[in-house]
Amino acid sequence: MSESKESCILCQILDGKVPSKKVYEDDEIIVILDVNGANPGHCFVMPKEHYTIMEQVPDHMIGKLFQIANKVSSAVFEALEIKGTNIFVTNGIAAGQMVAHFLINVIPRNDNDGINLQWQPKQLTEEEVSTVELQLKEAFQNTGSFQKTPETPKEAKKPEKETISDDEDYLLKQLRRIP
Amino acid sequence: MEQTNPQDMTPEQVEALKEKLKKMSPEELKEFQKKQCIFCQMISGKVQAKKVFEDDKTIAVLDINPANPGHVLLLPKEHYTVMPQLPDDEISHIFMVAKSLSNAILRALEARGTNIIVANGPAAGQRAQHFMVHIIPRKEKDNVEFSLPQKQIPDKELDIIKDKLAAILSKGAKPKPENKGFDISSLDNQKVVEGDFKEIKEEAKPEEKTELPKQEETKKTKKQPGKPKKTPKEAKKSPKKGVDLDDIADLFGEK
Repeated sequence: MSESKESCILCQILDGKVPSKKVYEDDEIIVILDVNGANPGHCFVMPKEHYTIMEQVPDHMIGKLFQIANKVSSAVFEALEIKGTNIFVTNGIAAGQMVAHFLINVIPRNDNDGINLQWQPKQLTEEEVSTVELQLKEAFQNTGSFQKTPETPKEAKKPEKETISDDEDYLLKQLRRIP
Repeated sequence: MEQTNPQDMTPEQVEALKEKLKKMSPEELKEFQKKQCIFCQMISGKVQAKKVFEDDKTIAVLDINPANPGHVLLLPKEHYTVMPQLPDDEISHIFMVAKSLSNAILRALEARGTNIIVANGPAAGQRAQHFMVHIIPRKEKDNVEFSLPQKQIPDKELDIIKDKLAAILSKGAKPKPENKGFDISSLDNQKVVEGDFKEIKEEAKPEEKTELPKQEETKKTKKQPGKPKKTPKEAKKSPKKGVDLDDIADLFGEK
């Protein structure tokens, strides 16, 4: 996935190769305005490290990213005349993800602003509902242990790749453990 | 008074209630909201729901009006109306859970992606008075049409917004978690939520279960929801155990 980092437009923004409208930055996270936003004030909250989808982002980073997203949501609310906000993540192309760099959309909302995040409820049979209920109950059994702090101290940031694959292996093992 | 259905109240009663709410302390107000909240009743077990996950701080249930099968609502057990009211540690926890559930959904349901959605305020599509995170499994051509327009915003306007936001965020201080402008009062007696309530109640009726076997036979011939037929292409991509995450990530590389 390292080759995708070089072609990643957001990584180029992070490197300063492409200009952007930055509203927040710390050592791990950056927040920029979407210049073609769904509404003025539409922000991207993203990790500086390149991750393609949410599942690759370490837990502690997820926690921090959404804390910042929450603050950005409050800030757009304070700064602009809006009636609400959406926090929106597209995870995978099938979910509408356009850029191969994980990001959280913070979208200011007003009535009739042309944004559609609604859905037509699907009618499921009782059988379908209980099937999915059972599948998910089983699949969620191993949710609960989170890595709340970075695995390695900051100086030794190099082996980040391994952190990801460790995490994935761990999750795979968890899955295999299900009878 | 609490027992009266808000829709049936006379204008005088509504006014009296509004006055009463104004006089309440934040704690009293929270307690009042909690009593009125269908999801708090779900959490305390007074109302039945299809619970698929629970830990000490959060609970996840199946959405009864799902965008797709496996659409999950993840809720904090504590009552909050909108996201800014949640303390940082609760935010961290609930989204770590959301990530983990999304991960499990991708594999268990062989989804090709997920959407995570939070709506703060009715204008953003919020329909319930309890803060929640939607986790929606996605597949290609699943008829879920989320659309974000790409608006042309003048550069000057962007710069003004950028400066305002940067100034607020650099203060580091979190704006007070009051609900100014979100107008969440209109959420309190949303018909949608009432509708949900009724449906859940009906679902809980045991009589309906007796009909199940009959339905089962007719449906089996139609569709097996647990084992969707795989196209040869899909079968190649997702061997045995659900979807490989790298697969989803690599899709970008293929294009």
